[in-house]
Amino acid sequence: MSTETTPVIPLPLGAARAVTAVGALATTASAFLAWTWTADFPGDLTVTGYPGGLQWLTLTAGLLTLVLALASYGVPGLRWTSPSGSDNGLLYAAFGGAAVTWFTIIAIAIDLNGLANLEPGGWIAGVASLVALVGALGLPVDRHPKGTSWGLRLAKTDQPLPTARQLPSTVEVLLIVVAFAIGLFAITFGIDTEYGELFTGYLILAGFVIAALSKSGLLPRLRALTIKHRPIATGAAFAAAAGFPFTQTSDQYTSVAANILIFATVALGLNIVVGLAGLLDLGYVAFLGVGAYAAALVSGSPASPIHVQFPFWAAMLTGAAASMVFGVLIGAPTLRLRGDYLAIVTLGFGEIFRITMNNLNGTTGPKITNGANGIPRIPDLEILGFNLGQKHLIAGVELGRFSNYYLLMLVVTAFVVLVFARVGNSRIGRAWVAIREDETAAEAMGINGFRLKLLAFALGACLAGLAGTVQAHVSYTVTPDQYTFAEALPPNSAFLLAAVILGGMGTISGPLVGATLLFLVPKKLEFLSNYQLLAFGITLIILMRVRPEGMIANRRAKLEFHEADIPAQASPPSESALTKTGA
Amino acid sequence: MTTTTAAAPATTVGAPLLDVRGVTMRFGGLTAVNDVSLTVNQGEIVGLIGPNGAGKTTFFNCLTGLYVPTEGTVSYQGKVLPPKPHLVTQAGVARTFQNIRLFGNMTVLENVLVGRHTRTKEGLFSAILRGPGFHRAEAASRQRALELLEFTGLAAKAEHLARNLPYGEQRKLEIARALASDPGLLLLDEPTAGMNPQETNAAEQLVFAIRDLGIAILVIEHDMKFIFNLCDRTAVLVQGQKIVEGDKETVQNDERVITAYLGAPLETATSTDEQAEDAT
Repeated sequence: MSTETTPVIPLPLGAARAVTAVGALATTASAFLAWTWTADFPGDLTVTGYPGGLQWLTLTAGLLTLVLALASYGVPGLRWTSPSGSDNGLLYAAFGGAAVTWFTIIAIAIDLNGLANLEPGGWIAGVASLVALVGALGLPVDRHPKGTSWGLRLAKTDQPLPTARQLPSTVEVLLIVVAFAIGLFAITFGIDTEYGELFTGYLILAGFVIAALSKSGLLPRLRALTIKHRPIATGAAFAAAAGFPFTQTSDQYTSVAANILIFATVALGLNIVVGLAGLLDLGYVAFLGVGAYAAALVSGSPASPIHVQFPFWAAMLTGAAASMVFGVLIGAPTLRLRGDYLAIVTLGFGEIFRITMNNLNGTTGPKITNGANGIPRIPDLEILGFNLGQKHLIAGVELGRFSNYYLLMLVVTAFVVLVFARVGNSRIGRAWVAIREDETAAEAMGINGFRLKLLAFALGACLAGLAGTVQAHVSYTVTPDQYTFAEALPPNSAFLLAAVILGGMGTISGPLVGATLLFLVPKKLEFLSNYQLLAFGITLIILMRVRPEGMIANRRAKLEFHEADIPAQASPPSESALTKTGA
Repeated sequence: MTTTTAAAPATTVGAPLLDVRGVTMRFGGLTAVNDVSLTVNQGEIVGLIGPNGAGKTTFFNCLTGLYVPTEGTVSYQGKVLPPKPHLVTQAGVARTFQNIRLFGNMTVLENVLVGRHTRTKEGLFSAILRGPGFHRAEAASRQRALELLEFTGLAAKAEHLARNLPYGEQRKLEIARALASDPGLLLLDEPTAGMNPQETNAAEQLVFAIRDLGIAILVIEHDMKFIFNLCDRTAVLVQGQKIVEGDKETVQNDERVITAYLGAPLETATSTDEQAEDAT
């Protein structure tokens, strides 16, 4: 994996830097111009002097490019933004600026029928972002030598960062807090996007900005800091997540956020089964359903045949326990199968659950679930006299129903994260990974494969059931159709699996990020209507092509990544083995 | 982990540890292992040789519970071994594999920690609650695993991924992982396959060092020099049957062994056949 540091477009270094910086400055400035003449395009890009909608994205990209370009000059006080000293980050930032600007221009042309709808400001922005990109392409970047792959392909191997300047630990903690606050702002912006164009632009920009920051060395630095101050970083992440409802003025997006958390928590539970123990489960959403149905039955809903109303904690335990029993019942006969066979059987069981819930309607079976009508009018939870269905004033912010459930769900998610982290890094977790790697060898090491696989199945089911109990209350109604194998909207088994694989198997943040994306993308791209699944599929293919290990690679994958720098010695000596065995 | 102190008792051969009686393994009409009996005594190194396809690995798999023998019993320390791999390991018989089967995406240290599985008890709730007992057990496991890596000379690579190790070190790691279950008997399936003479030599030293820890060893190997340097006794398996068992001289001078390996009486026959074919 040799790399070279050469520009893609041969330009003198001084000129390239100057062109990049000027282009970035012009891009930033152009965000304040009017890009189109009519307010028909969402976000109102007609105002000169104040950016709106998509212009904010161009502004962000322009500023980032400008800062990184100045850091490339070595301007004192800005060098910290590029600890790696490489210009790859700058190139990514310039790419992001050009991509998001031209996306906006094309979106305007398509929405308003024609490029004639662009004001000069729009053209200035487009040209300026391209100028910055050309300049950045003239900078020496680390990349694969020409001829080995297409000219632009940037090198994947990262040089180790120079050691960081020692900062007082209070400053380090402060940096973590600031970083998480920025993260909260960025995610809030994404969830709050009101129209598809803005969300698409946001995704494009987010991808490039993350690439730019990790190449410039800022993200690796931040990661090192969070590892150093792990408890504080965890607390800051939790606080940032808990802060979300307080940034919202209505319940519109907190309901999205609450559902994201449910989806993410179930994905994390599935990650135990798939990511750690390596058991491909295609019917996992059934466990969410069992938890939800169990909670609905004991919720005191008038439609439930059991006329009891369990307190919150008891309902949760009931849901989790019911799910776990269901997991053991399914797991005990099926876990003797391996690989594809297990996948097929779990797929079948997932469907059996849904069909059974449909049939327990009083005519085709005992009357328990009301069949396709489900169990409606599930009353809101009440915890210690705090009714989650009503609005409450906390810290001067009025929190609605979904905000309450979001916060409750956040506690559940935190619990699941805790369980995953602790179990994953223990004797049991190691045994799971060993089974995933090589079941025969694991058994020869004294691991009872069947028992541990059943344990993974039961624990995964239990955590999904826990999320299901909250889901039943959030959505008022449980119906069998909420728990299918595949449909256009999450949560369903296919999306859950996609969230785990896309996010990164065996990690904690992976499924959380993957689930967030997989929930938001279909939700925000509703304007694509019929092409939604097509676009979604293409996105998945691109992501898997660019990052096959998932968006967040786990510790082991990272290690492998890192060791690629060391010349590989581990070539299987097949030839010598052949000659030797004859002896 | 010094090898010299334990050397004295190791040289004296003790009571029978592994007792295999009349093990037969049939796959449909094929008899892979036919009525093989073998004992391994405490502190002994026993070799198992035979031409390719003689049934050595199948015999190993019968001992370690991967296969359930069609007939015969395998007992360890007087108790019949249950035909389940994890129970065999728990009873104190550990093994390595002919084609290395490490957990490639785990680190070297984690591989050895997995080997500690049967000797530790911390369950799910202990892992979630993380009481002092959990931390103590984890620290002890780690300590023991690092000792074993030190013993096999892999300590410097504890944090590397197993699959990135060079071939010889992967073999060593398999042995370290097997030793982590504190076995009384170690089964090695071709531990020097694919190694150069220096590595073979090092493997030899390692096997002696393991014996000096008081662990009996049953080893399958093709390398005769290695086997005869190492083993107190050697059994020869040909076409599923044990044809001879004894010390170096007995085995080397046995006509059936020479026949099995060199095909002496047949050699003239084939050469005349070839000449006849050439002539036509």
